Amino acid sequence: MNEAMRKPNDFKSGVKPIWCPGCGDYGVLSALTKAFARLNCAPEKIAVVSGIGCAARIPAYVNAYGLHGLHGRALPAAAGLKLARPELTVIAAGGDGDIYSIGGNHFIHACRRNVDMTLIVMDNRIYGMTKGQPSPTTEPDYPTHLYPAGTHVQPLDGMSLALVAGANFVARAFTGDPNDLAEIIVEAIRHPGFSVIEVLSPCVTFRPEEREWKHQIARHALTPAGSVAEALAAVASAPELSTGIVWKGNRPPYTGPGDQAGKRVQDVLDSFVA
Amino acid sequence: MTRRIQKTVPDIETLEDFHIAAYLVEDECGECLLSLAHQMEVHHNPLMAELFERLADMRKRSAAEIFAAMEPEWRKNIYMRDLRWLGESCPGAVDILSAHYRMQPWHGYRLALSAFDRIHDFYDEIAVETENDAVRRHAIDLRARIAADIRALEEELATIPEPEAAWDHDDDPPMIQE
Repeated sequence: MNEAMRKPNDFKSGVKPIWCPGCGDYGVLSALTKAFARLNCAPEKIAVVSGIGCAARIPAYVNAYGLHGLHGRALPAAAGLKLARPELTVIAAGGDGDIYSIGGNHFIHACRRNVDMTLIVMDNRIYGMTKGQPSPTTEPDYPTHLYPAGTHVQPLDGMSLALVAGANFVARAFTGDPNDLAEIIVEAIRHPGFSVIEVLSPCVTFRPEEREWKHQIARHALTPAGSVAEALAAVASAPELSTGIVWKGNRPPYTGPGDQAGKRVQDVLDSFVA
Repeated sequence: MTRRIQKTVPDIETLEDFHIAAYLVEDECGECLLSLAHQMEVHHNPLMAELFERLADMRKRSAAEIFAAMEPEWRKNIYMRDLRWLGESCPGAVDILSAHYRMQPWHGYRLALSAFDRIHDFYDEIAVETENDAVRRHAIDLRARIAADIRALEEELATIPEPEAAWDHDDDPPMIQE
């Protein structure tokens, strides 16, 4: 195949998604395949790693290597893959519950470790696959079946957490504009180190009011800040549904312990040889 | 008044720019409609799946004709250009967030027409504003084609009654039932 002719459709697996009609995750799939075409990646040089949840189904729909793994554990699997196969473009993906709650600890340490890979968090502020329980990003007064008067728990601010924990690229995008999201994914992949993209991705079934986000988005209200402190201030002061890239850091990515670990691995291997 | 929906990078100045932008707009619309067809098929709404597939085919055929008219050199980097559009999403984008598993043809036509109208405005703006005669001629041709498609859809839509208010009511909704 002529490498210059890769199309977004070349990165779709042919498996028809089973997300609800209208789900925001369709826009993420569209954006991801556009970004791969834009970067002219070879499908065999890409790996998409996920945990569990609606959003985490995405590896099945992408024509690339994929791992649909354990709940909350996309990031350690993705980091291990990137360290073992640094030539791959590694994408980790999941929802707000998978990444910020079940995988919350891994999220913090992935930011801190700064392995060169991109995380896409599809934030719909609800657990959709299990039918509508409050997630870490659900508003405190949002009524659900489990909490009819709301949880009264402060929502987690994933972008600020990413910034203070050390992520090297932090952005928010909206799935209703897949072309804009695709460009942010392209920038995230190109930027060295750990990139976090929080994607506002409506759950039209359990949060039908999120369909209105398309009228409430503050497009590109976030712009790259000069320091982490300025980026934090920008996230805190921007409208709630702001999109844009807020941070591009210059920390060197973690590439592994080098020869030292190699020797240890070799020692282990040698111990099995009679 | 025509909305400004020009591509930011690259600006549409040459016939190559125009063909690539037109192809991307038509293809985006076709892909969105095809995605909707698949969504409806998977969620057991065959009537809508068939409709969206037919609507997608209209734009896909148009995209294929634009692609066929391109110089071979133009085709090489179509998808490697900046994908952002100024002010709003691609003119060919269909509002997928409006989809519903119980939607009916009346909704489908209106959803498609909204995108078709924006594609028409896109060609119209280029036809009015470009200083390149060749680009203008092609923009006028494509504007006429999409205008014909819009008329055809509007005629079909006129034969379909508007659904009743509770069209999305489901006796067995996808919610926890306590």
